[in-house]
Amino acid sequence: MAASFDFLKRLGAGYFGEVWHALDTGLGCEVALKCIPPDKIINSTNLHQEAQTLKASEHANIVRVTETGTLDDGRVYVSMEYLPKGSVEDEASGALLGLPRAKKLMTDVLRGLGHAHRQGIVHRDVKPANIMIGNSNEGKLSDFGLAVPDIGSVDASQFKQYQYRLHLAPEVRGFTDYTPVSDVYACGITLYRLVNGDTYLPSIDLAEATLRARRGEFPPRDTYREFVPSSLRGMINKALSVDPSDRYQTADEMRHALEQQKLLVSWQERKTPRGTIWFGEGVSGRKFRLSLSRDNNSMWDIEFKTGKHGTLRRKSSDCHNSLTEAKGAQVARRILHRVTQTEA
Amino acid sequence: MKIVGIRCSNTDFAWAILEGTQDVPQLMSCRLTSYPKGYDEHFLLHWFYQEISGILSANTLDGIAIKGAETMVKRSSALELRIRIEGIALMAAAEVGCSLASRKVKPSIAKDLGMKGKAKYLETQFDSSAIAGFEDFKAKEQEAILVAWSSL
Repeated sequence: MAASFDFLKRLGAGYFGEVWHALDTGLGCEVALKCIPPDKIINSTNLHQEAQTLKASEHANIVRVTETGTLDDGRVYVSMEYLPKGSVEDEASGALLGLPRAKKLMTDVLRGLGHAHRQGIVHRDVKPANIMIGNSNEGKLSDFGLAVPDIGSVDASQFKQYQYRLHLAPEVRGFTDYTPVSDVYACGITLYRLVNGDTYLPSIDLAEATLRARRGEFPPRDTYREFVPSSLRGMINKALSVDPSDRYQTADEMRHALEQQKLLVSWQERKTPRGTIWFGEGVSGRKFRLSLSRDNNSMWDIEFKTGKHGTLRRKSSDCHNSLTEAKGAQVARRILHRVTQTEA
Repeated sequence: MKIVGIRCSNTDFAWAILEGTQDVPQLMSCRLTSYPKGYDEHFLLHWFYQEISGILSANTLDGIAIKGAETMVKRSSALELRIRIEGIALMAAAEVGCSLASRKVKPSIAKDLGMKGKAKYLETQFDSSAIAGFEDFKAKEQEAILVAWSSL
């Protein structure tokens, strides 16, 4: 008997077709149903490639596939677990995520990705829209449409040419150039976007972004939010190395490096006419407020407040007046990094 | 036989996979992995569970051997955490159906390696030359290797 679904709501649409929130009337459960027109299947010699790859890479940090087949209208469907919290792209909406949250999601994704790599599967499309949020708020890698295993044994010249160029590793030109290390690069740029927000990416067209990425200038390696600690910047920059041999060589290696980052505070940044205010909340619930503002003499003042309940108290040892612009930025950065790593 | 030996502490854990027999052991892999920073204990235990589950699922193993804390170790919060972590390892082993699971201290490791049951014999009498470069491993890695070796 053919599978039967009630289509409840369209969750998204893209190059490869649509994803629907649907009810599997046979199993009586909600599913995420990816419907792919036959002409958009990346490997036309195997219509069910994506579902088979998902099944082969089953892991707690990879979305679970439940079924595959062909709908009455000829589209291929892949039925997957329905995750109502959506994707990281939905959660972030282009803005930055808190550092602890970004770390948690990326360590989960890297764990799933490491598992897929050990099965010989390269994902080829790691990006915020392809990271789903599980019911325990964990990250789950999804969309294995480009993850064709054993690429050497199939004729890739027949594959549909699709690349998410924003996350394309500099060495990748064609479909067969992807390696686990190019996935590491994509994880690096994903993490860069999560900790900075998309406003930190220069507004340039994709062709220019590709050219700059090959020169190691996109995304800009020296442009991070002030509160991103130097050790995390170094870690992301290593994942973004132009030379693949300079990157983490496995997803597990990158995950272990990320796990060693002490990121205890989520920061939000607000620009004001006189300067910048950072609002932070630590994993223990402690709150922080750091302001860097210009005074009437065009010098810079820093005020730092912290507290766990109710009113925040001024911490005088971290408050400074009449600093030069460069000194003010340096002191503010030092306080932000210390608080991020110690919550104190 | 294929055994994973694990030596936990409250900052990292060493693990070693050995295959073969006690006379002809083969070291398949050995690593020291640091715990993630900034995790509360329940998240740390979950992280460790994921790590151990990953090791167990990537290698078809017959058993798990844990190098436990020596009896003279003073009872402290660090020891309590270590024991909880060891419990997680045993649970993960049961989940994948490992038929052998044991927790040993140095005297029992020495005894299982054919010596008298005293810790000092591991240092004075044991011939580790069957595993090339044994002396180059860190102390915790050596303990993970030895506990796995004693269970072959």
